[in-house]
Amino acid sequence: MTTTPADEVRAVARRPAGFTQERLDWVPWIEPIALTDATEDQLAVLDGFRAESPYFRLLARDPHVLRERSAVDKAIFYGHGGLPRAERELTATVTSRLNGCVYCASVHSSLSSQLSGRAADVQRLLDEGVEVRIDARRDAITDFAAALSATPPRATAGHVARLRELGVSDAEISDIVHAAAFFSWANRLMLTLGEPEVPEA
Amino acid sequence: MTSTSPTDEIDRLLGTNAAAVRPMREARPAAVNHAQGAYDALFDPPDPRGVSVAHRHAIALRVAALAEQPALADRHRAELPTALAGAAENAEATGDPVLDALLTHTDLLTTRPAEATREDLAALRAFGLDTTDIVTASQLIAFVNFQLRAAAGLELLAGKEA
Repeated sequence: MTTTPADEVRAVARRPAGFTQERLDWVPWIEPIALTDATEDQLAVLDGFRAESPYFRLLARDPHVLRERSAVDKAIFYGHGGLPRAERELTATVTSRLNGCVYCASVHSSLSSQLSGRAADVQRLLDEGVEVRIDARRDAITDFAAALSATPPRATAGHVARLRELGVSDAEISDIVHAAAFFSWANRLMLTLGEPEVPEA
Repeated sequence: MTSTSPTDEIDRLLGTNAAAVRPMREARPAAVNHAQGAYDALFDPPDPRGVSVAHRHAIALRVAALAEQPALADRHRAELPTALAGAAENAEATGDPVLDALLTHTDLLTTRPAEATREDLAALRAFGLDTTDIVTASQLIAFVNFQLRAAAGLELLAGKEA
């Protein structure tokens, strides 16, 4: 039987027990579009894995905004130079942990672990929250990202000064700013349009 | 490269600090261009459907007030009639029940995003907003939360205390 978008909106069978690096699914609370109904503008923003994803098919209802969102995401997380990618993903994890986005935290903690080889430290961030202490550089990144992600933001010149003292360049600090800012966007979408589910074993 | 006039919305929020962080922003030109593209898609949409452009500015003003960002509040207040701006900013009834429902959702999603439930979306639907409108409103609230933090972080990098 074919799954329709109406079937995709359903009760969640298994809620995650807490923050995890394991793969999770995401179940929408409102209907994604069906690919067969998609306009040209919508198909253009549903390339590759996005075509299968209920999340991206839901966001494709406003294709112009989705196109720009995906381009910002790519520029911040995959652009050359600047902050090591493992630390961009660490920043994404910090913001997601602070905002309580279990789904986003699972994807980006796992990426940060793969890129850094420090899965145990990343797991401590998930378990203990943004107050966790790892080492001077990661603590300074965590504190700045968490403060900037708070509402209202409470990041100060002191956070920036501490990063500079540790040898973090202004280009790298700009990447931390943008990674935290982007997840302040992404978390809110995932938290309000659906919820995570533990996949069937 | 050395121009000090605002070239996009984030420059406009940064004001006199824009020039100091221009080299960092220019290191990621696609991030700059598409952040502005998202702003344009949200505030100058080809078809606003159920969320009018005035409502969008009112929602952004509410986010700016919650996040205590005066430059961002000024930006959106300037696009609104005084009475509407005052109501949106001070969390008072605006006289428009659809906008009031959207502003209630704005408060939730800005300050307590993890508490959002599917019932909150049903509440928006009860005011006549359809699935696409709900996606657009969610993108709008979430985007403004991005934009204000990009500007706030860059302002610190420019050397000014937030």
